[in-house]
Amino acid sequence: MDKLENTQLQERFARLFSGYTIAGQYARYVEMLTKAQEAQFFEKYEKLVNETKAQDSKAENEIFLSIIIRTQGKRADGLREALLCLEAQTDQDFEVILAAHKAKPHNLKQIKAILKEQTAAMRKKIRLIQIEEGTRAVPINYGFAYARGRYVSVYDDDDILFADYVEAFHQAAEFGEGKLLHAYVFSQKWKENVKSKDQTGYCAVGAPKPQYCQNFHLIRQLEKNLCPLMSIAFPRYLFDECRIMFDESLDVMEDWEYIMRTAPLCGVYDIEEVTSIYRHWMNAENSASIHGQDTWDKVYAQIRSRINGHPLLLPDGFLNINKKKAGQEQACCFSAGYPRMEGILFFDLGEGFSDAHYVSTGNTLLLPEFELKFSVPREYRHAARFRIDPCEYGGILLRDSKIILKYEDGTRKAFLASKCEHNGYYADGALYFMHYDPMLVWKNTYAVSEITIRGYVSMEIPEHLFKNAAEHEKRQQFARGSVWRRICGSIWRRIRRTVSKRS
Amino acid sequence: MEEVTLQIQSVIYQNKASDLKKAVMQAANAVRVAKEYGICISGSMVYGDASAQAVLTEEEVADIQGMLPKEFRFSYRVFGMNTGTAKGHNLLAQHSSAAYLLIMNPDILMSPSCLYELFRSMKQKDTAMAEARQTPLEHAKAYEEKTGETQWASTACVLIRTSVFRSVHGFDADTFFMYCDDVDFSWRVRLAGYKILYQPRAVVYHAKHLSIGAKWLPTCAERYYSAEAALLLSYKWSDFNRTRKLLKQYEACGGEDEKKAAAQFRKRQKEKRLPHPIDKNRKIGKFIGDEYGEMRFQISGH
Repeated sequence: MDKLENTQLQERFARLFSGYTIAGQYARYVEMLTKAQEAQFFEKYEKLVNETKAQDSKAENEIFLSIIIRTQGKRADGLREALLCLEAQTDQDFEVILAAHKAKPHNLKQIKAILKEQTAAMRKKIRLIQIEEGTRAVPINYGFAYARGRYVSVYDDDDILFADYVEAFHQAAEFGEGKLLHAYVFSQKWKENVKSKDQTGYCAVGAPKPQYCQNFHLIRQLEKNLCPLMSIAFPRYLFDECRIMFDESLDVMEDWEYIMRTAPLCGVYDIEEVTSIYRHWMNAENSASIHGQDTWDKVYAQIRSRINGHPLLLPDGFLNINKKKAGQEQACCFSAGYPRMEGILFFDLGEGFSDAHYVSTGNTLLLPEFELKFSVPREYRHAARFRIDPCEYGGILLRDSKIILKYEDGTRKAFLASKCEHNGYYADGALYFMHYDPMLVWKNTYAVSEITIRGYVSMEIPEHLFKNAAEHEKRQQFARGSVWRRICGSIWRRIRRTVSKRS
Repeated sequence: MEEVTLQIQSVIYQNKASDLKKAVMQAANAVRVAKEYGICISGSMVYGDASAQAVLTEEEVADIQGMLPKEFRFSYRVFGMNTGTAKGHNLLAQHSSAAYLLIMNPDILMSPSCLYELFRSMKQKDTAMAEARQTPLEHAKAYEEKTGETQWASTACVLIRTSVFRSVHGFDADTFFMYCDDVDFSWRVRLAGYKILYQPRAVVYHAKHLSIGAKWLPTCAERYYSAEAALLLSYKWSDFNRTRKLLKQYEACGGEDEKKAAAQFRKRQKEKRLPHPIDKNRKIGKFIGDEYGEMRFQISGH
């Protein structure tokens, strides 16, 4: 379409659709989107962008991907591993912008030492920038301003990449130029071993899971972020030309907010391959543990309210919400809200529960209601015990939750989730799980073909329940202490003997 | 400055020259970084080529020599036969005068601090082997978190004292072709009274992938050789019940590859070519489920 034709179309559009129509409002929203952060862009980033462009024009080759690595220098081993993953890339058409964010002097020294360790070829690719201000969004915006790549991705210093991370984006860009490029991600539980000075290091404690292995779906994405940040490559023009930047006022969920502003504008091209692993830390510091629940709730509400405050353009195919892809274990069904209700059903075949025997599924209802329906594979139907982990997160309350078993002969049985063995605290008709990995376990005697757990979930924990649960846990820990247990056991046995003799 | 001698060795099979050069570049960098941190490593890097046709040209060999530090010599040996990993590594280690051997797969990329961390582990008393941590998919076998002690070490990347390698007569190439040779070797090292340590800070990149459902995607050759090795390992380490169970399982409900492995085992048995059983009290060789020791987690197969 030439310029004149484009202008005529715009004029006609403005004539036809007033500001009261949805089309008119949408047009105004898009204009606002490109203008809202202009002042901040001109003040902080324009000069840097121009300098980068000037350098770019002198450079011999265009760069495909700029990878921004955010680091505070606190995770030296993580940063080393992150750089090794980049060294191993099959497509080396990338540059690295290492954004040291609020790094203390000794941490900065550590970062510089790690850079010195790299091969000459790798060192050439890396630019270290130091940012002393702001939220987690600030280093990303600076990274964008320094970026020379046609696309930009953001990778934290504790993520892991497969060797085709860059290659997959590069190939996808041929087909989805201008769109956001989105690849699949595994999640995996990790912990940091710090038992002695010489033996620190990271240790995987669970198998990789296909938690983020589904195509991007704007409607599902309205409720929560299903795309870890490194799963997406953003076209650089969004920052340079449209001046749409990460929101620096957000302490958390800055990635979700940015995706929700950009994906409806540009569209998303899906890469149906797993190119990275998102580490769920069991004992190390991360943004989930640094910021309190209040912050998460507040930002969540703020982002939802923003999304709700303007019309939304849906891409074609948006109705394919329940479509299950062949060869993909994880159902692409409607699941909503925070926390992520993505359940796992484990099977005990007589040797205990393990990551070798499980199936997973997502929530099919809108929160606070949830329903996790598991189809039990034939080989697991006679398992000695079943275990449902309704989600990975702690700090949740399950109300009126029922487990419904469907047997092979078609009969059904239902019972309250609170009747299972569990690692939560039961009070006021609700099950409260304080810690990570809530679990519900029960024994099995018949052939079960389908298991469903249904109920209501909440993260608003009444103060008294929180206190009681904490006290209960303390008491339990005390009672678990070996001396106490032995004393109690011996007193109990004596009482029982006396009672049985008398009777 | 601590000084050590090392031979880095890989058995290659139809690898790309460009991938091998990348691995050499990373190894050379790891030698440089170890020196900066106080361990001066000299010695050699050896590739044993088990491919039908030589992978490297003379120019490429010269290029690789140029990539290594001056204290390191590169040699390239064409076996002229598919030796498998066990025999190939034995041949390469045969004439080494280095105090340590670093056995690694040719597709391994060392992190800069990998060698430094592995040598640090070797300082612990009675340690004969130190294994690196693989990324992006970490091996799932268990290890003692406090000490790093583990039941066996994968030879994807492992540092071994040459004296110990010789004292246990290297890998059992008569029994194992390419799988479980490392488990068997590790168990014999432990049987001789040594420790094996896992060093999670010595990271190496081993390009592996899983399916979208997070499951292994083994090739036919991998299925066949791992089934054959599983039978031989259980027999050699005196777990005859397990051997019988595996044979029954492979023959009754195994795929084509498992059936072939079972038939091959029967043939060996008939020809009296099975290994001599050791560790009859089963103090060292531990089979748990389908694994060779405890695991932290399991990745399912298709």
